[in-house]
Parts: sequence; C-alpha cells; structure tokens
Amino acid sequence: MNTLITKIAAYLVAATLMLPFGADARWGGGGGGGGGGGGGWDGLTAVRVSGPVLVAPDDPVWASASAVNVTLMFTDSVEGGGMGGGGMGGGGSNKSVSVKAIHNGTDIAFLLSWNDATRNDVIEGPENFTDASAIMLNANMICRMGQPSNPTNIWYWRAVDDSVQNLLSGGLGTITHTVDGNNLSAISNWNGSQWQVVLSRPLAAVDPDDQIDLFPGGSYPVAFATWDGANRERNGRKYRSGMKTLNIQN
Amino acid sequence: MAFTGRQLAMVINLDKCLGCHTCTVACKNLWTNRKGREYMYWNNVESKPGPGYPRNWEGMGGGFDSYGNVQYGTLPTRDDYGRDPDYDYQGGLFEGGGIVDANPQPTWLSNWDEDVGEGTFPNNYYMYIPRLCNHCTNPACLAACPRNAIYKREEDGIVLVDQDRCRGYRYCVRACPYKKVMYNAFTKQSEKCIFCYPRIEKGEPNACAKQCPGRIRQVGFLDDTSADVYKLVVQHQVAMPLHPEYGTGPNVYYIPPFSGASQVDEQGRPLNVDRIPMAFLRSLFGDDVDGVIATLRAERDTVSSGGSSEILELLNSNNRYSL
Amino acid sequence: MAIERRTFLKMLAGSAASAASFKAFGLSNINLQIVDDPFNYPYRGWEDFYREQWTWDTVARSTHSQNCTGSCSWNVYVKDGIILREEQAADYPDIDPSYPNVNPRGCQKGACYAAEYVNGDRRIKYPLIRTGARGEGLWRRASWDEALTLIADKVLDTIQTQGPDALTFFTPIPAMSPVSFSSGARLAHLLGGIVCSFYDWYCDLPPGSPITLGEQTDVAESTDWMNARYMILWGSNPLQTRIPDAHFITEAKYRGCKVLAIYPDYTSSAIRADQWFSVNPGTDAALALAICQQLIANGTIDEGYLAEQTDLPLLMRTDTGKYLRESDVAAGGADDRFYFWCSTHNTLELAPGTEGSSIRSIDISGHSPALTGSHEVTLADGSSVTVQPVFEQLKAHLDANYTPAQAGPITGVAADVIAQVAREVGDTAMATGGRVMIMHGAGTNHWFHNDLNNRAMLLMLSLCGAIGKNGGGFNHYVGQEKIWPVKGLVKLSFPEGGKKQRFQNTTMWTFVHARMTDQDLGAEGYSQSTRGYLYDSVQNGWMPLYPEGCLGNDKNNFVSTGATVKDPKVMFIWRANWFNQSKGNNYVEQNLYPKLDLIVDVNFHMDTTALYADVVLPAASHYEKYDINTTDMHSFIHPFTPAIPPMFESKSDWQTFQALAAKIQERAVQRGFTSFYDAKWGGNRDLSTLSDQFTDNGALAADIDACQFMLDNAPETVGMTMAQIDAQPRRMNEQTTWTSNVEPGRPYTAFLKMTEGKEPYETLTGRQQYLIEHDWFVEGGEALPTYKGPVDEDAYPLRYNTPHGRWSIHSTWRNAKQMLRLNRGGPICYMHPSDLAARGLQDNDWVRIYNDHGDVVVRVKAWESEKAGRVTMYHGWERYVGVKGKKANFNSVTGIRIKPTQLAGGYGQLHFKLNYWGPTGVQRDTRVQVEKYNG
Repeated sequence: MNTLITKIAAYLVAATLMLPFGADARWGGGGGGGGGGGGGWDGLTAVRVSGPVLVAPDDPVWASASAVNVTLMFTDSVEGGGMGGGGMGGGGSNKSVSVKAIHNGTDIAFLLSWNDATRNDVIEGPENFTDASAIMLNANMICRMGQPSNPTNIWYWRAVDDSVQNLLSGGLGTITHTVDGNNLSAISNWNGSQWQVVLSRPLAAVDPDDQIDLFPGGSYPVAFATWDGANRERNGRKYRSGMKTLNIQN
Repeated sequence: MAFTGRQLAMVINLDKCLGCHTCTVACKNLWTNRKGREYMYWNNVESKPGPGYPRNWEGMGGGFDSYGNVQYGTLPTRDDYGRDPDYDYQGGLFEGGGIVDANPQPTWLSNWDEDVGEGTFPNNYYMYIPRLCNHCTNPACLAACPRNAIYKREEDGIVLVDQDRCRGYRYCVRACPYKKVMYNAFTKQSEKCIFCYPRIEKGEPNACAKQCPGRIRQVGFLDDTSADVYKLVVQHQVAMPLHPEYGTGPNVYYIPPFSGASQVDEQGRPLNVDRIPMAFLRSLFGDDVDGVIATLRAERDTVSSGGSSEILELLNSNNRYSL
Repeated sequence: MAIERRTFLKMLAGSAASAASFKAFGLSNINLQIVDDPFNYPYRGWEDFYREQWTWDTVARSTHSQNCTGSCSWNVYVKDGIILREEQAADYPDIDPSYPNVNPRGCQKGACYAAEYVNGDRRIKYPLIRTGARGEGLWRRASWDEALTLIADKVLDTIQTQGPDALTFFTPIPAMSPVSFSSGARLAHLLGGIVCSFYDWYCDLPPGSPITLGEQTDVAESTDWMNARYMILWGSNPLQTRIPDAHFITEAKYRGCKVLAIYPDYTSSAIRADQWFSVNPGTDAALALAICQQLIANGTIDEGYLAEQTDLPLLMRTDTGKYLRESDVAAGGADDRFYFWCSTHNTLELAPGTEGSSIRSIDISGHSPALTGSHEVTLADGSSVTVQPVFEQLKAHLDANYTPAQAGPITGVAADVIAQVAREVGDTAMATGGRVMIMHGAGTNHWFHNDLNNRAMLLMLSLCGAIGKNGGGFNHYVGQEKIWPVKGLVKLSFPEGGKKQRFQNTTMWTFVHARMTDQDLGAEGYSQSTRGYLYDSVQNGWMPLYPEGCLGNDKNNFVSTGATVKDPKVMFIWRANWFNQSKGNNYVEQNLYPKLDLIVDVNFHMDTTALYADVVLPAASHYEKYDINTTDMHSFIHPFTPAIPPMFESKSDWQTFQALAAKIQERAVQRGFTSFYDAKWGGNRDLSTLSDQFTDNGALAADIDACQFMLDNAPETVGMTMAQIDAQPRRMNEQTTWTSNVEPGRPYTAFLKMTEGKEPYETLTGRQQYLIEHDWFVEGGEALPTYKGPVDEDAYPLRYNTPHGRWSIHSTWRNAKQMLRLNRGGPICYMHPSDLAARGLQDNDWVRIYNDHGDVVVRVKAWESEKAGRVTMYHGWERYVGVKGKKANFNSVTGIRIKPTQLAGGYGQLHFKLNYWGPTGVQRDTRVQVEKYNG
C-alpha cells in the first residue's frame, strides 16, 4: 500500500509539471487553428457537412472530403522488427491507409480504407486474430503511445465484433479500455480486398478524463494503425503511421 | 522484480494416479463449462509418453532461455486442443430417427491417446500425469504479457490473468511452456487455472485436489513446515517439478512413479528391468529423478521388511491440505 | 484490501485543486491503469469475477444410483433453483485413524451427473407415448393420467386374459436405491407379477461362491485392503471400475503389500502392480489350480484352518466319489450328516455344523480331523468301503493334472513364474495368518466356466487359510450385491414375504422368451443341449420359469424348436437399461419384444430401453428425491435427499408406482374387476384396495417414510434416522445379517462369523465345500475344482471381450458428452496393432465386428496393451450413439449361453434363490471377426 501511494504521487507530480506546456501549446486556444499543428505535417481536413456523419462508406457525403493517403510501417514491439522494418516474421513493405474525415458541428467521422486480402472477423480458436484499425488522437508528440503522465486517446475498431473501443494509453502496455467510451460508433464493410471503416463520435468528449474535446477550427495530432489478423497482428505487432494533423473545418 | 511472497504448492503422486479424470471433470464443472471455456481443460490428465493436451505441447517451446529471456513458443491451434463433438440428442431421440452421431466426427481429442504410451507388448508402458497451471515462481506467461495483465499474488503465489486487463494478445499462451494459458474466443481474453483461489481463500482446497478419489494431491504453503507439501518437497525432496529445464520454477510437484512392475519375457518371467525407462522419466523430471526413485524404493523396502516410512505414510495421509 | 489505484486517484481528483489541474491538461490519467510490478499488482477488484462463480444458495446431500458400487456421498449445490454442480461430501468418518479413510469417494462420472442428466438434453420431462416404431424416437406428450390409465388397463387386461405372471418387472440392484427398487417390486408383489433377478443375469454373481461358501457373495470393504500383504488383481480392473476405492491398492503397497496383476492385457490396473504377466484368456482356473498344487507341495497350507473351515477333512467314498453319509453307516441315518477321521482319537466322528447336524457350530475343538489317510468303514448293510478325506482326492487330482509344468502351456505363463507366485502366496499367508487376497472381477467371472474359475481361486485361498481373515479373502467386486439393511428392503418390497413372490432368474427367462440359439454341450462333457437341461431343471422344480407352463409338455419340441406356449405380455423396467444391456440383443429385439404388448420404462433420461419402450414415464433424478444407499465397498450408509423438487413433471419411482397402484385400483373398480384368485398362493388378490396396500394405509406414502421404514427394519440400521444419516454418513450397527459383524475400529471382511464365530457355512456340509456331488457336476467332471477352457463355439478368429470401463457405469454416462469428449467421442473397440495390420486397418477406422449373432459398427483404436487375437469393446454403449446409422451395440454379437450345472437344484446349497443361485448370463466366450467398414 505504501509503495503504491508513493508511485501514484510520482505520477501526479509529473503530470502537474507538464501542465503548462500541454495546455498552451496544444489546444488551449481552441478556435484558432491550433499551435504547432499544421506546419510541415500532412494535413487531414475534417470537412464540415450537413446531416449525419455516421454513414456507410459508400454514402455520397464522403465525396465532399478528400482522401489523404497515410503511409503505414510495420512494427513489432514484442518480438522485434521495429520502426518501419520487416521485423521477425512480420510484415514486408509499407502499407497505406486512405483517410477521409467529415463533421457536422456536432459529430465527427473518419473513413479509413485499407487493403486486406483476407477477412479476419471470426475468432474460433487461439490461432485466429481479428483485423483491426485505430485512430490515435494525441495530446502531444512526446511518445507515440503516450506517457503515464500524459496519455493518448485511441479509437480502436476490431472486425471480430465490429465494435469500437475508447482506449487510453500512457505508454507501451498501458492500454486502458475506458467504460465511458460508448459514444464511439462504427460502420464497416469489407469489399473483398479492402476494409472500409467509418468511425464516429460526438465532437464533445463524453468524459474529459478519457477523451479530448474536439472543436471546429481546431487542429489535433493524429495517427493511424491497422492490424491484419491473417498475419497474427495484435498489440504492438501492427502497421502504424507517423503523426499527422487533423484540422477540423469551421 | 521477483516474487517475494508466500507460495502455495501442490504435490501430485503419479505413483498413485488412477487416470480417472475426476480432477478434470471437477474443474470443468466448476470453472470451464462457461461460454468460450468449453474446450478448455485447465486441469487435464494425459497418458505419457504421448502427445498430451494440447497435442505435442512439449514441442511448442516457451519458457526461458539460459539468459533468462522469455521464449515465445508456438501458438497452439484450436485443433491441437481437439474439436469437441456435440450430439443432437433432442433431435435424434425425441424428434425421430433414433440415432445420434458425434458432430463433428473427432479425429483428435484431449485424451485421444489414453493408455497408449510406447513400447512393445508385453513390455509397453504408459503412465498418467495430471497437469494444471504450475503457478510458477518465475512465470513465463507473466514475463511475456506486454500489458502486465498477468500477476502473481503476494499472499499465496497464485498466478492470475486479470480478466479486466487482458486484451487477448496470447503472448502468454505462447510463452507458457506447459501450454496452460488458454484463449477464450468468446471473451477474447486468455484464461487459465486460478488454483481455485475463491476456495483457497475460504480454506477449501482446490476442486481438483479435494475431489481426487485417488487421494494423490496435497496442497499447502511451502514455508509451512507442518504441511505435507513442505515435507515432501523441501524436507525429503521426493517431489519434483515437471520439466525443470523450462526455467519457470513450477510450484506443482510430482512424485514420480516408482513402484511399477518389471519388464517380462514372453512367458511372464520378470526381467528386473524397469517398464518405464529411467531415460523417459529423466526427460520429464530431470536427472535428479534417479535419486528420488531410489529413495522411494528404499522406503518401500523398509516397509516391506517390517519397518516404517515417514515418506510413505505422508503419501497415505488423511490430512493432505494445509491452507 | 488495497484501495485500487483508480479509486485512489478519483479521490484525489475530487479535491478542488487537483481536479482543476487535471481538467486543464485535457486527457487525464485518472482512469489510466498502469502496472509496474506484476508481483505487487494494484488492480485486484476483478477477482470477484471468479469468486462469484463459486457461490450457491443451498446444499443437499445425495448420491448416484447406476448399479455402481461407489456409494459415494455428494453435496449438490443449488443456485436460483437450478442445480449447479456436485462435489463429494468427503465426510465419511474414520473407521480408525490408523487407516487411510474412504474420503473423498466419487469419480468423474458422479462429478458431471448434474450437467449431463439433471440438466441434460436427454432428460425425460413428461410422460411420453410412442407414436412411431419402437426405437424410432417419435413420441407424443401425454398427461400422467392418460399414461397411467393406458398402463393400468393393460395390466388388468393381462391379468384377466393371461394371469399375473405375464407381468414382468425388472429393476436391478437394490443397494444403490432400495426404496426406488421397492416401488415397482412392491406393486409386482401385490399384483402377483414376477420380479426378475439381476445379479446372476448380469453375471455379477460368482457361482463358485454359493457352490463353495453357500453365500451369494460377501467381501471385504476396501479399507481392509490395507491389511493385505499379498494382493492379486485377477480379472478385476479397479483403476477403472472401482475408482473410489483404488487408492487403497497403492496405499496398501506403502504399508508393505505386494500386488500381483493377472490379466491378458496390460490394462490400467496393471500399471499399479508390482508384478504383471499376461495370461491366456479364460485359463485362469488352470493357473489357480497349479498354485494350489504348489501350495500343497510346498507345505504352505493352513492345516488347522482346512480341518475346521472346509470339507477337505470330510470322508468320501472311493467307490462312489461321494461323501460318506450317516445314512451309509447307520440304518436310519441322515444323508446330510458327514464324517471326518479324528487323528487324535483315531475315531470316525460326525462333523458338527453340517446341514443335518443338530450342532450349529463347526467348532471341532478336541478333535484333529485328518486331511490325509485312508480308512475302511463298515456300512449299514455290512459291506465295507474305503474312504479318504476329500483332501487326499483333491491332492491326487491336482498332482495328476495341475502341476506348473502342465499349467504353463495352457496359461502361457512359465512354470517357474507359477511356482514363484505360489511360493510368495504361501509364504506370505503362513507368515501373516492368511493376509492374502484376490481381488476378483468380471474379467474372469464372465466365462461360461466361471464357477470353475471361482472354485479354483477359492481353493487357493482356503489352502493357505486366507478366507475369513482381515487382509485376505476372495473379494469378488462385481456388481452391487450388498444392500446392508436387506431385511428392511425385503419387508418393504415384499410385505407378505419373499416366499409369496414370483421370482424369476432373468437369464433363463430371456434365453427362453428371446428364443436364444441352443448349444450342443457335448464338447464340455455334458449329455444334453442347453435347452434339454433347462427343460429338466424347470420340470424338476429346481428353477422357476414364468409364465408358468410356458415350456409346454413336449420336451422334444421345445429342445428342437425353442418354441414356447405362453408369452410374457407386459414389462416394467425402471432403474435399468435392460434392453441395451441384454446379451443376445438381436434375439431380444426380434423374438422377445414382439411378444410384449406393452413396455413401460421409468427413466430420467432417454436411454436405449426408453427409446424402445411404448410408454416412458419421467423419473426424478438422483438429486430430486429421498432414498438410501449402501455398498459392499464400505460399511457406511447415507441418503439421497432432494436438492430441488422433481423437475418438469417427473416423479420419484416410489410416487410413480404409488400413482400406478392408485390408477389400477381406480380402473379395477370402474371395470368391476376388483379381485382375482391367484392359484399359486391359493388366495384372492384385492385390487379395490391396491393403493392402500401399497402405502400401508398411508404410513408409507411419503418417500422419506419408506426410507425410514427400511432403516427401522434392519439390524444394521435400526435406531438411525434419515436426519442422522443426512447429517453425516454413519457406519452400520455392529450386528448384521451378513457373514461378519461390523466391529468398531476394524474394517469389515467377510466370513468372520465362520472363522472366528465358528458358525456353519450355508452349505450342505456346513463348510467351505470343494466336493460337489450333484449328478450334473459329476457328469461334467466338475465334482472337484477343475479347469475347462473357453467354449470356442463361435467359428470366428478373435476373442471378444466386453469389460467394464472407466468412462461409464454400465450404460449410464455412455451418452454423457463430457465423458465422450474425454475419450474418442463414440463407441470404439481396441485391438493390438498386429491384428489391425493383418486386416489393413488404421487407428480410428470404422470397423464392423460380426459373428452369427449379429454385427456392430464402431471405430477401432490401436492398443499395444491388448493381447493379440482379441478385440475389446468396453460395455455399455447405447444402441443409438455413434453407430454409423445402424442401431447396434456391444451386445449385438452376443448370445446367451447357460451352463447346465448352474441350472442344478435339489442339492444342499444348490437351490433356486433370487440372485443367489441361478444361471449367470455369460458372454466372455464369444468370438468374432473384425473387418474394415466402408459404409
């Protein structure tokens, strides 16, 4: 118990010290195009539309957004095969995911499309892994899976039950599935060679502890990942992107 | 980080095992008859030599290498555990036909090679070995979990997979050299023997131990000098971990089979050769098994010539649990 | 319990300052769960997840009733009105702290009864009336009233047109649930119907026991194995068939016992033995007799014991081969009084305790009955005859025929191994006062010449003084003969007494009515065929056969055709899977079943017998009723109690037959058929008060009252209450109706009343009797223990072995999914790889096993432990599980063979008594062929 309290206290101190940087530099402004957001990074714009945004991948509304092709690199944080490399028994060359984003002032939606020749959405036994994808909305760029004091928010969709989870991550091994992430929704389609997944959420966080509020006009660091079940990808064995910027149109 | 708490241990006397699977069924109906666990036998009994459960688990790797690095072994497939058949009794017996067939027709199940073993009649041999999670001192499953969702309880050393935290990555399944972590395809999490901690916490022995009609299992804390397990493991050193070379420090210990018959010639003349080759027992328990068997046989000789044996009386104990 | 980190952080966050700080940063780590040290884990609240799975509302004590000798007390756990699971109660008291106790009795099958049968999908929920063909599985749901009315009318029709002996009632083994047994038996008794035997029919009866010991069977409780110093597992496979007791084998080894295993195959129990060798199937008597020969040759025999406890000192005439009788020697002398030669006084002495002796003791203090010698005796007619003790004749018989050198080639066991075993047996018995036991099983008991196997083994133990000794004895563990409170059972089942009950040996009944193939028995040394002996036995009044007169008056016609003149019409079956387990299964289906107008099965699950019945009545499971439960394996009693009320529309058997009695009464009154004359007993049977008779005017209406009645009416249990035995299993009272009393602190072993109390055995000679002078025994050359090999009548190459196995209790659990999944998922047979190779077979192939009786299709398992030349199929498989579309089972290739000597009567201990003396249903001599099945 004593040890536990000491550790927790340490986290609190760390978090507090970093507070000013985080608040000012990242999203304190809210409406103004966001700190260091755009700059040299590839921009992904969430186009304002009218009407619902949680719509099927083939809905005409997606035509109003332009796709950004995001490069994905293989990584395996458990068994090696690191940044961009093939890794042990891992992936080969890079992949990519095509991303679109739209919002209607209330809700935001992403359409992720990526090639996957095998549909892995049935888990019958230990050898079956699900296809999956994720969007990471970062508070900062310090560490790609967040830090204990400074977690990131991940929307994790998996094919096996077509569900999407709201996760916090404070570094490798710290993924926490928060119970109040039920405001996430998904519509998915596998067309024989490609997954198309729509992920949507109200702009407003359901619980600011577990999600960040999104505002029209704001810019946010974002990253993407996919898992191919046929390649036994899960956890840190995945294809992931670098940081991108999400600009939410006013 | 290393374990510094108290450790519960179990001793299983293979010289007395009946191969009856009451342990397996007791565990099944207490823990693994639920959704996604149906195929699991947290406790199973296998005939050795033989492929066991899951099939050929001993060839799947895992454990630690000599530098202490966790090894990710092969992930067993659903087929390796056996595809349990179902039976449509409701249809066949109540709705017409009067025939019920297994579906699917099995080609492998968890106890498929019961009583098979190796060797040539009349000198073929087999033995039974009940297996459960070893609740290792240095659990490979724990070391392998990238999320630290597996932990070892300080108060009793029971190793658990946190069913809130586990995200079903199955590195533990691969790393456990005994293949005693199993994946629940319904919850999409991994599960394993929990050493019946809800019972242990109330002073009740594990179902597999308490329900064993062969009376082959003893349970207690290794630091409790009054416990049978202490006496057998620490004091007399006649109980041995299975596959110590895997490096995980199991806390389930086995009394090796020591009182079986000799090989015979075609007309039944004893040849004074062990039916179960020592080399095979060494492959299970390491080279120390020779000494343990010699000790146990000497105890039997003592008793047969009118003496008494504390060790053998421990193996006949009516009070097998110290919780 | 540590405060969880998340909770702790939330608490901190609740204070104004820190909460503000976190909010300002956006994403907080309040909900982030981080584990730094898995050996000091912070998030343990989830552990309740499994804790909740080990909770329940109520617990009740019960057990199982499957013709199992386990008699294991279980706790049954109930939650939300559903039976969840069971677990051994494991609270039997110690007999004495120096012995390993009997806890926790139970096995894997008992551990899944709730899942498989209480809550299983074969449960019979409602009365069912057949709508398709028998066995087709087509039913309609009926009300209890409709079903009972149908049955009652058929019963009344049958009594009116055929007589009550066309009503056949079959239920086995009272010990496992005697009230349930009594339910239908009591109705049969009141109606005049026949109650069938089971212990002989299932060949659990070792005929050598009544022949030699005058006792059905009596054995040591398994705790007494601890006292053995030499234990022979002989055709008994306790690791599979006595799971709750088998621990004592190894525990006895740890106390200095040597264990020898004798089986053809290297079977599961052999792996726990100190020595095993393979014996040729069916040659066990030759092996035992060779050991006997050696015991005598070595002088390791207990002469004092033999002089007192056996007929070996009794004098037999060398001219006739029969005992010297008082009637031989003195005019007006009895023919059931016999002599020995006292070597102390050199006098001819009448042996005390014989059937005709006024002395009810075999105490021969003051005399030394000689085992050897030869004497001239003057007979009443003045002639003279040479007499010798039976021992002399026996010794000569053994020396002439059963030396190890002679037995070696027969048994396949080296002469020096036989000699070694004999030496160890004899030396151990001499050193320990007879602590040598044989654990005897169906492997040797199911042969045609089973009585000879029994007698040879008994003789071996008698010679070294090992019967009636703790740690010794012929412990025949086949079947569940020991209903400890037997007097209570008889009083409840047969209120007018067993003498006013039509009892039927089921082997004969089935042989005749299913028109089994007759056998010429010339090769076995007998002068007639089976049917000839059977006809004579019935004609002589030695064995009853119902319906009375069914064989007709023309013996030749019966022998040549097997035709009968009267048929059974209605059959009630409860607590049993009679059809499935019937040897000669095809004959039963084709010849017997068509004779039956109505087959009523009372069952909790749809077994084969239920599937082929006309009306199925739903029975309460073992966890839904009261009853009591005992076994020969221990000396305790404990109850069934209901954990929940009977599920669906099921009833306990006691309530079912009570309801049927009421319905028969109601219909009898309505039909104006209120009584009938039963000529056999010379009285009227009153149907208008049948229900009142059944319940003894209401005193026995409740199940628990019937249980208590039984406890109250037996010396073993008088004074006990149901509440007491529910609280904890209790050891039997000291005084018993069995062959020993139950002494505190001492494990039960059989025949102590004889060896210590000097009570006579229930035989003609009042002794363990090895000379049987009955004409049919003499004709067959079996007056003294002898060896006869298997009857190789089926002209097929493989022996066919159907032992009891690990995965079922007979047929129960054969359809249990959990059990099927723990072996190969369906019926299999075992063959040696060489026999597979010779037939081009692979492991797990479908094969057809066949002979002239029929065929069955199963999968084959290659098993190195099997003796080449034999196929083993563990018994009990249902006709409907996993049989490739052809309804058949292990009994589809068997017939029924009846040994003439087991039809014998009119001689001392050889007189019909239900389950004690009557022909056994043997099947071990069957031979088959096996071929690949491509269908």
